[in-house]
Amino acid sequence: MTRAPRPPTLAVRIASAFTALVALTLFSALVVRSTETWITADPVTTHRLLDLLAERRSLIRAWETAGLGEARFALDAEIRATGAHIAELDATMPPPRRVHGLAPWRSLLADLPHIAPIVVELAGETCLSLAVAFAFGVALTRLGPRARFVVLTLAIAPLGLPPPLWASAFVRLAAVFGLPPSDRLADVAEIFVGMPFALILGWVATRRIDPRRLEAARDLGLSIRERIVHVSLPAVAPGFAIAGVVVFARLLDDLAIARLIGASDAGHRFGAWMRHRIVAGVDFPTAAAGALLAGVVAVAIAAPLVGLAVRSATPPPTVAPRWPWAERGRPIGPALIWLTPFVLIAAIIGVVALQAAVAGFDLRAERFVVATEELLRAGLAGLLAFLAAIALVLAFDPAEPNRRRAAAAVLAAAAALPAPTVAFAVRLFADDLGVEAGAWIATLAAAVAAVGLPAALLLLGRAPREPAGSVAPPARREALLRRLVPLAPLAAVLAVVRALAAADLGTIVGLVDRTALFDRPAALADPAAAVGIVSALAIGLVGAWATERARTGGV
Amino acid sequence: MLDPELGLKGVSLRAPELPPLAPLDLEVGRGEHVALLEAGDGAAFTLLRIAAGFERPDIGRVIFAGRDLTDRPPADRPTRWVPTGLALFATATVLDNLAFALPAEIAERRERRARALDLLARHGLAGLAERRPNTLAPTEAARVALLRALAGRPAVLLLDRPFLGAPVGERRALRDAFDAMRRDAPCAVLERCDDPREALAHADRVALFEADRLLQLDTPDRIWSHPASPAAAVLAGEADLLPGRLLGLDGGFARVETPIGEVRGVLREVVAPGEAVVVGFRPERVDLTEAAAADPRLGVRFEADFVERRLEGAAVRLVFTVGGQRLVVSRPERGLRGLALAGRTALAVEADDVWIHRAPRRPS
Repeated sequence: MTRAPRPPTLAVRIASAFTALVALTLFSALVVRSTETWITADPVTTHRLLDLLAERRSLIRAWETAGLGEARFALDAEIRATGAHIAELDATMPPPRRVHGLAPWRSLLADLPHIAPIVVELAGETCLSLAVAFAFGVALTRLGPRARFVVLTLAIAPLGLPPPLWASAFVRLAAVFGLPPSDRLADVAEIFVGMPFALILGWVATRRIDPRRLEAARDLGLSIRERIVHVSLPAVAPGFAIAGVVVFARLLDDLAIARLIGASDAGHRFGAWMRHRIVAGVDFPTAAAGALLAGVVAVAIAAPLVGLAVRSATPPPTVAPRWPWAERGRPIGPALIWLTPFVLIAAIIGVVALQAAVAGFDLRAERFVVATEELLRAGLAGLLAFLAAIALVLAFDPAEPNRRRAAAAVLAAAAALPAPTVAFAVRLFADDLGVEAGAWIATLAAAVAAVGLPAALLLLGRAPREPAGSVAPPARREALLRRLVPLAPLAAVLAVVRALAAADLGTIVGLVDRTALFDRPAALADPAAAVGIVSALAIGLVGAWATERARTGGV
Repeated sequence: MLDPELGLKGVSLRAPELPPLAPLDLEVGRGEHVALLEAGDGAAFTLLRIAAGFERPDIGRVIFAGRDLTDRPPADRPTRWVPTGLALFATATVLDNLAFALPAEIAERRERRARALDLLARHGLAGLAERRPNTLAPTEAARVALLRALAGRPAVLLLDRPFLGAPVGERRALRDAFDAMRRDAPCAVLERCDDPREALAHADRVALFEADRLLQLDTPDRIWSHPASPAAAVLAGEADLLPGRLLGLDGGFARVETPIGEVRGVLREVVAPGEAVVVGFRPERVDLTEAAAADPRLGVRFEADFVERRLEGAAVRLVFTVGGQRLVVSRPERGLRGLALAGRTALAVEADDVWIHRAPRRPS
C-alpha cells in the first residue's frame, strides 16, 4: 500500500510562494526588457548625449587617478560643465518611443559565435579548478590539524580579496617569473580564483566519507585506487558537483580579473561584456537578452551536476571520524607545493602592506572610506543572504523528503546563476518600480546573488533518504540544530564571499562612481587595498575554522 | 587455553576520540565464539579495533596463532571486520562487494566474480548478486556483509554489532544463517553484541565490560547464574537488586538484612559483618508458590504488593513492590488460568539463587 503524500505545511507553502515570486519577478523583468527597443525621436541629440555621458565617465576616472591640486581642480570644473550639458540635453530632448520586438535578441545573435568558445573555455577552467582542489585536498589529508589550519587559511584568504587586488598581486607574482600579462596568464589566475570554492566544498564533503567503509576497505586489502573509487569518491562527488556549479558561475560572472591580468578581448568574460553593454553603450535590452542567455546556459550546465549532487548526497555518518590518515603531528610537507602561489601572493601583499604601514597612510583618505563602505555593504549583503538561507532551510526542513530535495535542487541551481544576471534583473525591477539605482539596490542584488549557495549547503546537510517520521517531533528541533550549527559558520562565510565577489557588479546596478575597492588599485599600498587585505585575512582565518568545523562537527 | 587463535596479552590504549581500555588479557580459541557486552561504546569497542589492527595498543601484544602481529596492518592479519552499519560499498553490486573480499590468490576478475556468485548461490543469495547495497533489506544486507567477511576465510571474524539494524523479529533467522555460513568457513568469532540474550544464547564465552575494564569473562551459564558483581549482573540481563547489610554467616549461607526482610544467599566476595552489600537474584528464580518457612534451601520468603503484568510473548513479567523496593518476577506464560495476583502475594527465592556482593563504593 502506498501512502498518499502529506500536503505541504504552511511554512513550505509560504517559502515556495515567496521563492517563486522572487524568481518570477526577476525573470519577468529581464524578459520584458529584452523585448524592448527604444526608438529615439532625435538620433543626433541622443548620440550627442551618449558622447557626453562617456566623456563624463572618462573625466571621472581621470579625476580619481589625478593628484591633488590644479589638475584635479580643472578636471572637477570640466566634470561639472559636462554634467550641466547632460542635464540641459536631457531636459530638452523628447522621450524615446518604446516598441516591443525581438530586435535585441537579433543584436545578440552577432555575439553568439563568441559565446560558445567562452563557455567551453570556462568549463575547462572549472574542471582544472576542481582538479587542483582535489589534488590540494589529497595533500590536506596528509597534514595534522594545525598545519591543515594554516594551509586552509592561506588557500581560502584569496576569497576575501577584491578581484582587482588579487589580479594585481597575481600580475606581480607573474612578473617575478618574467611572465607578462596575457590571455593564458588570465586563465591560470581564473583557475586559482575558482579553486578555493572547490576546495572548501570538496573538503567539507569528506565529512560524508564513512570511516567504517574506509576501514572495511583497508581490512579487505583494497588498493588506494579502489578505496578512492568505491569509498571516497562516491561520498565527495556531490560536494564536488556543487563546487563545479559554483566555480563555473564565479568564473562566468567575473568582471575584473581577466581584463586586469591582460585578456585581450573586452568581451572575454560575460560580466565585462554586460558591463560594456550597460555602462558604455546604454544598451539595456541587449544586456537583458544576454543576461537571460547567460542564466540559461549556466543553469543548463549546472542542472546535471545539481541533479547528481541532490540525488546522491548521502547523510554524514553518525560515528565520529577515525581517519586512517594522521590527525596530529605531520609537518606541512607536500601541501607546500600546492600552496606555493598562495604563499607567494600572501608574501607580496604582506610586504607591500608592511611598507604602507611603515610609511603610514591616511585613514581618512577618501578611497579608504569608500572601500570600507563597500566592504561593509558586501558584509551586509552576505548577512542578508545568510539570514534568507536560514529562513528557507527552517521552512523546508520539516517538508517531505521529495519536496526538500526539490527545494535543495532549486537553490543549488540558483547558485549557478551569474551574479550580473541577477543584479541586472534586480536593477531593471527597481527601474520599473521607479526606485533610483543606488547602494541599497546594489546590496540587495548581491544578497540575492549570494543566497543560493549557503541555502543549498544547509539544506543538503539533511539526509535526503532519512525516512519521514524517523525523528520524533520533540527531538526534531534538537536534530535540526545539531545539523545546522556545524554548517552555519561556513554558510555565513560562503554568503559573504559570494556577496563580495558579486560586489563589483555595483557598476551594473548603477554605482559607476563608487569603485574604490573594485577598481584596480594604483598600488598595493593603496588605502583601498589595505581594506581588501584585512578582509582577506579575516575570511582566511574564519573560513578555515568554519571549514574544519563543518567537516568534523555534528557527529 | 590450548592453542588460542587470537591472544590479546596485556593490551591497553588511551587515545583521543576512543574509549579508554585498561590492561587486559583475552584469548579466543580455535572456532570459539566470544561475545563482548557493554553499555554504549566503551572498552570493548577499542579492544575490537586493536584486534582488527585499526589501533595500536599503548602496551601489550596481539598474537595470532602464536605469531605476534601487533604492528601489522589490518589486511595482513588473519581477521575480517564487520562494523556497525555493515560498511558495504555503496557503488558496487553485491557480487562485486563479495569479489573484493576473496583471497588475493584469485587474481583474475572473471574468476573472482564466478567464485563470488557461487558463494552467494550456496547461501541462497544469488538473487541479490546484481543489486546495490542501498536496495537491500537490513537482513539481506547483514547476510551479505557477513558472507563478504567470511569469503576471505579469516581465522578470526571480528563483529562490531553487525545485527544492530536488523529487525528484532528476524534476528534469530539471521543468526541461524550466520551459523550456516560459519559451518562452511569455520573461524573463531569475537563479537561486540548489542543484545545480552543473543550473547548468552550464541557465544561460548561472554566478556562483560564496564567503562574501561573487563568485569567478568566466563561461560554464559556462569555469567547468568553467578555474576561477578551487581554491574555484571545487570549487563547480562534483568536482575532484582536490593541494598542490605551483612548480618553474618549461617550454614554456608550469608544472612543479610534488607528492605524485604532477612535474606539468605551465597556470599560472592569477602565482606565483614555490618558492611553494606547488594543482594541480587534473577527474576525467573523467584517462586510464586507457597514455600515452607522451614525449608533449609529457602533464601527469603516475603509478601509483596502486585503492581502490573506485562506479557512478553513466551514469558510474562510481573512487577511487585515491597518495602519501597520494586521487584520484577518473570514466569513462563500460561494464560490467565488460576491467576490470583490482586493484593499481596507470597514470593520466595532459594538461597542458592541469591548472590551477595559488596556494595559498590560511591565516588567521593
